[in-house]
Amino acid sequence: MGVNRTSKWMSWAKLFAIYSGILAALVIFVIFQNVFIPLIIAMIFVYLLNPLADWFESFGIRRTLAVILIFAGSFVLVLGFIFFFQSQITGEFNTLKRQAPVYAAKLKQGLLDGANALEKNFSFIPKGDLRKLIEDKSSAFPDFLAKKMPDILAWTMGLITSGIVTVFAVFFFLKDGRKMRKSLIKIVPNKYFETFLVLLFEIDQSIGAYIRGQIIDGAVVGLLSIAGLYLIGLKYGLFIGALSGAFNIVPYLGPVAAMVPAVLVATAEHHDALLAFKAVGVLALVQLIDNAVVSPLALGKSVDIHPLIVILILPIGGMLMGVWGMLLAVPLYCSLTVTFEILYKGIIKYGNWEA
Amino acid sequence: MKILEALKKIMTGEKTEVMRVLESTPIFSGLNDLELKKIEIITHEREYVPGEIVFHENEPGAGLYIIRRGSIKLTKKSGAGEAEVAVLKNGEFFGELALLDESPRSATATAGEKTQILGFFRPDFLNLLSTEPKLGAKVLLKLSQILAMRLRTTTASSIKGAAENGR
Repeated sequence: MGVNRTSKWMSWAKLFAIYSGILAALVIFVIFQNVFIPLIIAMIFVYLLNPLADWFESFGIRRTLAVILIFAGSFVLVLGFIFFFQSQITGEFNTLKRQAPVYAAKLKQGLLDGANALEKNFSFIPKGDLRKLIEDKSSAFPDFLAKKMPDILAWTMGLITSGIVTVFAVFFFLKDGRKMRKSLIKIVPNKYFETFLVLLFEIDQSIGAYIRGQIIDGAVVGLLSIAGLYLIGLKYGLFIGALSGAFNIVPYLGPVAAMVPAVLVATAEHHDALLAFKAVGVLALVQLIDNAVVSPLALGKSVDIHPLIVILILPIGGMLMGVWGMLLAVPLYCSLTVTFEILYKGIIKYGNWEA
Repeated sequence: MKILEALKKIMTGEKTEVMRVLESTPIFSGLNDLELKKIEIITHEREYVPGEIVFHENEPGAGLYIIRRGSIKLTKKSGAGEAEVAVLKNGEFFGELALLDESPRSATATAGEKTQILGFFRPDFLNLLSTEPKLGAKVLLKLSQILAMRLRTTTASSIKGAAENGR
């Protein structure tokens, strides 16, 4: 009995040690997030493209050739997209470029009006201080921009480097991912090997289903939003619709965030409050369709977590890693739960790891 | 015909030793080279020292093992000790029921000598069924045939046993 109790304690200690290890790995991940982000983007693409590579392979085409075909195909697709939507994109971009100073002036005027109203209503605010602050800050903006130019350039260069690293990582993960996984499994001692294999499979399934589901879901939401905004005649409908699709990846907050630019454009550009309501209505309707039809189909049971937990983990992700944290919060939470379930089953319930 | 052969070689490469071992296992017999190659990709090669346990009786299983080189002793707990059920040699396989569900292993498997085995596991098998349904179905059919054959033998022996008891 005593021996049994000791081995149970040992099992719990093992589980605790593994979880501490995972926690330490997560801390390292958060600290060095800049290094890991290109790899995460690469992994998202790998999860997305892997079924396609498998499909090519099922016809007897070698993996390397299948990956080269996918890369060539993606390149042609991107070029085709640019070519096809060139006039639309440049058109919207030029309008935006033309309108940007007008928006800036409108924004400044809006702030000045606000400051006036505040000064008028609250006597304790010294007259003219707020106005002066706004005038100073807005006139200093070009100088600030010029001063920050080297940083902006460095950031752009960093972005390009990360982009190149990502493309290479996607190529090699897609081509050799299976070999890497097999090599990783090979170094696991025989005793832990079956549990590790099942664990890897379950995490892979859960993340893969989540990423593929979210991308499909986002694409459908984007297309529906573009169509809806086009129908009500909102300017920059293509951009705002696409933005709504992309923001959809962040649960709950994303869809609301996408409504902000729609309302801004409707009020500032069209001066039409009714259109702003219509735009919010369109995006809300798309969300309704998404929640009722698209999301259950695209995501299925892959994110079977309580909304309360999602609301709780999103800000934590956001606090630790910004936008990336919010994107990763749900899949990371799913992976950690799956890991706990499998390790609990393997170590505590069945005692697989006892000596 | 020669061109076809050459093309096939370019596509799938040479037949490896693992592919040959797989080919000689009943569950994968009848698969063509391309299919064997696909199975090879998802199998895991493991090595065990003499006396090392591959799996314990009553543990939930994750998959099937094929002996590549060496021997495996299968034992079952009986009373206070352990009773030897079988000793398996090169090319033989065990643990196939675990491909279907997480049911507990019916015996303990121990390496009799330095043994190399190939593992084919349920997660990969399930994946194969969804990504390559044709190949998955072929393997599943073979597995079902093997299990059906065993069931027939078991049924026959239990009928025989019942008849002898009734006598």
